[in-house]
Amino acid sequence: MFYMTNIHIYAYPEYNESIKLMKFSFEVFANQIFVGTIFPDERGDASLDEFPMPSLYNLTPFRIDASGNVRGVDMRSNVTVDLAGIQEYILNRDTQKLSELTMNIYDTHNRRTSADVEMIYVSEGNYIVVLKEKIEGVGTFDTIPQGSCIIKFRHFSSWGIVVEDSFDQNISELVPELSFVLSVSEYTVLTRNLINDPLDDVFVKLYIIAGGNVMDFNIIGISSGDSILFDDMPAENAMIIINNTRAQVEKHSG
Amino acid sequence: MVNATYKVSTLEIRNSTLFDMANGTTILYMPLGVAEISFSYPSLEGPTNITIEEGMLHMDPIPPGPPIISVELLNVRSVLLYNIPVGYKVNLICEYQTPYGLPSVTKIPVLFNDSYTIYDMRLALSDLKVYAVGHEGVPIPNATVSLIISATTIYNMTNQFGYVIFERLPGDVPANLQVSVIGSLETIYSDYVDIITSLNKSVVVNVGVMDLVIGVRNVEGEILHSVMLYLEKELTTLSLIPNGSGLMDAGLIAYGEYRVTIYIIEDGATLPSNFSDAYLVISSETPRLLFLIVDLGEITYSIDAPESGYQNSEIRIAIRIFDAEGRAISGLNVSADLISRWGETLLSFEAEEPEPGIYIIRIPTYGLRHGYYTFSICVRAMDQRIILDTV
Repeated sequence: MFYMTNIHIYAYPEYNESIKLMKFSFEVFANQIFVGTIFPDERGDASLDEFPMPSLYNLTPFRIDASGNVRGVDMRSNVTVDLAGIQEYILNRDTQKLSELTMNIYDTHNRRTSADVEMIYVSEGNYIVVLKEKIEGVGTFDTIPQGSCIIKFRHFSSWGIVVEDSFDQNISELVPELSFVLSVSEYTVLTRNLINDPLDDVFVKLYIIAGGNVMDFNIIGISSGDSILFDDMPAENAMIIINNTRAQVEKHSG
Repeated sequence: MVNATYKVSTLEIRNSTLFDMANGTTILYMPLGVAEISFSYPSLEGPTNITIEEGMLHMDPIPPGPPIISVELLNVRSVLLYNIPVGYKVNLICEYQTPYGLPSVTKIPVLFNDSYTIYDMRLALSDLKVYAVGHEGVPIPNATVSLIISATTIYNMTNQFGYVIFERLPGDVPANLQVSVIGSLETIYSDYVDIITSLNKSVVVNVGVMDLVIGVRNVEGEILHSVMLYLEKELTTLSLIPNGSGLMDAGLIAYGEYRVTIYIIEDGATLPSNFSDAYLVISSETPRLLFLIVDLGEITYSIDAPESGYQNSEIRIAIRIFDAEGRAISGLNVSADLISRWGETLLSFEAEEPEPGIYIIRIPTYGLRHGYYTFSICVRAMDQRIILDTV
């Protein structure tokens, strides 16, 4: 009679054991004896079924070299565990350097705004897009590889202007919460007559000067209560995208 | 960059500025300012501020469109207009109801170029000074001057200096002037004078009238103090008698043709003169002091005398004396003078006048021998002995 057991192995981010990572393979060494390479099933579990019980057959400690890919980023880790007893083992300590990232995005007036976010992981000169999502003010994303990255936001204003912001970031915490202020602002035009009395019903049109050009995005409004508020506008020095070309909004613009 | 448009009527007010993005708020000043409009007009003394009793002030755009601003003017010397376009040519239109009820519209293109403008709007009004002059250019006080503009007639009286001023008339409108004077016989009217207000500011209207004084002299040149003069025109008669100086002030008499009748009053008798419905022309050539030389006029008579009489009785001669118009001449000194063969007056018998114009001479025949006698029927007047006839 032989004593056998089932050994289950899966990879998870350090911040949350319940998340089982796919696209990983596990090289298993039992007391330095290469057992084999196993792959997880559709639930993320890799199993060594009816494996001789390590504690009885001098097959411990167990060393597992895990390698895989999360969001296009190759990841490796290893873990050595002493398997004692005769129970079924679940080796779930194969943690990966991943984070649960929360991003808050605001305009310059500290109001939440929306944007498309693109997160580019930078590794040894390689740029890997790990995230491409739309955020409505706040977004939380699992399994973000830790390390240096570039976070790009593209805000599509109601005036048809695309405002782009880019931030270099180093993700190192397990559950970081980051806030970004995009180059989106609001402007007020006060309409007055020459003796400084309020003037309503003035038709106002703003032009944006960017890259040396005066651009007409048909930003119009009619003053009421002696003012008109133009919201959702690119801020000073904002980078805007026009025909896939970047242009910086000049200081005195509109 | 901020472009702004403010539409008032057909006018689009525009302005642009650079937006201060760092500050976030930009004040965009539209070229709309304030104008204080005061009103004046070129009076006879020069530009004169006036109070608009009733009217309207409009600011119209160019090109034409609905008014930008319309304000009612009620007893104001000036008015403040807010949000007037600065740097844009507009028309200021003042509709002024003149004190005579005549409307006057003044339209002036204006370009305001400051945020606060004080603008003197010179209205198209005018004063008109009308002199009423008569004979030899003598001013006529208290003459009525009628100024006719379209369907409106304005009346005013000349002052003691013979002129009247019509103030704040609508400018550049055709008008007619006429002066009327209450004369001694009639109301005297001048001819109509056509004028254009603003163009004609001082007008002299000649009235064919003179303040006539008449003196009556006899052929010796002596002024007669006892006369009656009747000056007639058409159906109106002016009766004059001399004052202490022997002159008759006829008052204002129009140029024209008159009939003159003068009676000489002597000892209660009214004697006809050579002026009996005489034709008299008063014209610009007539001297203001007009002397008329009168003489005794034609005396018409009829004598009723018997061809013979009885001694120790009386002869009764009846004489009826009347003037050329058949009016009885009363109060005459009539006598029947007994003339000698050599023409000497031997006796004189005075007449009685039992009825006006009928003279009765009673000649007693006591002491008269039988024979032929010649009596001259005489009238004594104006120091003359006029022999009417002999019987």
